[in-house]
Amino acid sequence: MNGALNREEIERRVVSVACEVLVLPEGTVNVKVDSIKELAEDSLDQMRLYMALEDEFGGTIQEEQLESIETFKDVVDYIVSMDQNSPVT
Amino acid sequence: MTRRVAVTGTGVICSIGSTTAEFWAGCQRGTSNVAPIPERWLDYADYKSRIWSPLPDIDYADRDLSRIEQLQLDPVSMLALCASQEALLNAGLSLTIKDKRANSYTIDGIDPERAGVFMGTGLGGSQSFLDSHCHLVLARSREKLGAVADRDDLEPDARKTISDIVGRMIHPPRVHRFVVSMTMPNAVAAMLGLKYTINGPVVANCGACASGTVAIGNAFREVKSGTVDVALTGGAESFYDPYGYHFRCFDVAGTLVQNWDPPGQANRPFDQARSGFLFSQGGAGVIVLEELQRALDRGAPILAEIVGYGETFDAHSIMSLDPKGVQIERMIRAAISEAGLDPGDIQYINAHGTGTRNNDPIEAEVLKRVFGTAPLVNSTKSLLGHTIGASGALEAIVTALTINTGTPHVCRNLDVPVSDINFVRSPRPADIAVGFTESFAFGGHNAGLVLRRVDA
Repeated sequence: MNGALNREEIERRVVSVACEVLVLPEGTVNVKVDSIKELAEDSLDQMRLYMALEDEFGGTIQEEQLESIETFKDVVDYIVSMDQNSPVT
Repeated sequence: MTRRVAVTGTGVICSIGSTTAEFWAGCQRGTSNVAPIPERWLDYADYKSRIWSPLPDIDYADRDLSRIEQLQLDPVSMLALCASQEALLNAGLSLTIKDKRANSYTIDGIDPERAGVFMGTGLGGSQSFLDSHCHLVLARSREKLGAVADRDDLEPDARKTISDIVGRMIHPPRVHRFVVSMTMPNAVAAMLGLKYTINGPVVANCGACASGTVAIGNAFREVKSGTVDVALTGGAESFYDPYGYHFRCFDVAGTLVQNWDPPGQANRPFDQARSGFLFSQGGAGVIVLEELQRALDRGAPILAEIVGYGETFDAHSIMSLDPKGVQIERMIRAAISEAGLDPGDIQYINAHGTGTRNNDPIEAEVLKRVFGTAPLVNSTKSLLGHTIGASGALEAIVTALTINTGTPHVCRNLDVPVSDINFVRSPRPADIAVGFTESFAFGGHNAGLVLRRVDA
């Protein structure tokens, strides 16, 4: 979304935003395996998470993509792909 | 037994202060914050008025609003939340965290089902509405136009013109996911209800410039009648946007103050040379109202009590006062009657006092007709400019503080008054037991509150 980020850095920042939005202690989010829907209690928490991620990475997660995002790994994959493809916002 | 209604706490954010203490100190100094409108606004219109009264920088994180809340709320709700927390703490109430994720609280010692919220606002979250609207309307066109500006075959003048146009097409990166809940006028009241876990009536009052006064009047009635024991009430408004759209709306209506040298003297309520009202960026005023005995039992600070409320409607014009002020007078007399008082008992009046050519003489004439020339009169808008939906609440707070301290603020820039009523033209202490504050509004709404010192 804002170019030149490596995957490790994106993962670190996704975890940081998730902990902030969902008020979780550091170390409780496993970005490689955790399900977003299990940690975000309801759809509004998920909306807040996507809102904060968009603010963090400066782009837009397209609505049609949201349906295919289930895990934090999916989020990271999406941000990596957007970073490489210069998204239309 | 008649229930009495005490003012136990106040919270303020406005152009001359971001707490009640700062605000009141500014009032005592006769301070006004007048500045040129943002330069960027000049790209969009040839304004008749060129000055406004901006808010101070506010560190919302320092006012207990998390970054996530700031991302999710319109500024009007954030202003109301800041003022409400100050009001609760100033009332001597303590808060216990309820939900860390939502950053919400319960108010210690308050039954949530015996508490209510009554908040006024003129336009609600209009900045959020405008932001998302601009994204929808402009984003794709801006991208295409930007691509044209990048073409190599353009003449330099054409490239510059297109680049300038692209630069003026300001919009946020997306339609905000929460824009509906940010825009709706009831969000201001609802956010207070959510933040402090209030389960009684949570009500939005939209009566333009009278919104804050109407909200407090309704809260007063609900505490007095026993529907609730405690109410958070007041008003909030936020009128900043990147284009100057809100400013322009009032500018084309011909209501805003004209230019003056020095600009700090342009805003002149009740002066012969007045030319309109000073546009304020906005603000919030919030009051904690409590049933008096309950407040006394817990040893709460009591600034004053509200003893009467009146509300009428002109049915005359959507934008102008009835020149005869018949319904204004009826509103005043109704409020005083509910208080069990006579007009002669009112020692201080916080007037609506906008500074527009039409309104001030009508208001002064009605005040003289009802009260004569004895009561002290001032206009808080002579200091703050016009905060629209917040104004009535801020002025009710001034009325309570004036009764509490006996130090009415000056009516700033009043050199040649439109009337011989008793305007406060220099700082002077005064023993004031009973005060009255009134607001009028586009639409035709008139509302007023009578406040009294508790030992009076």
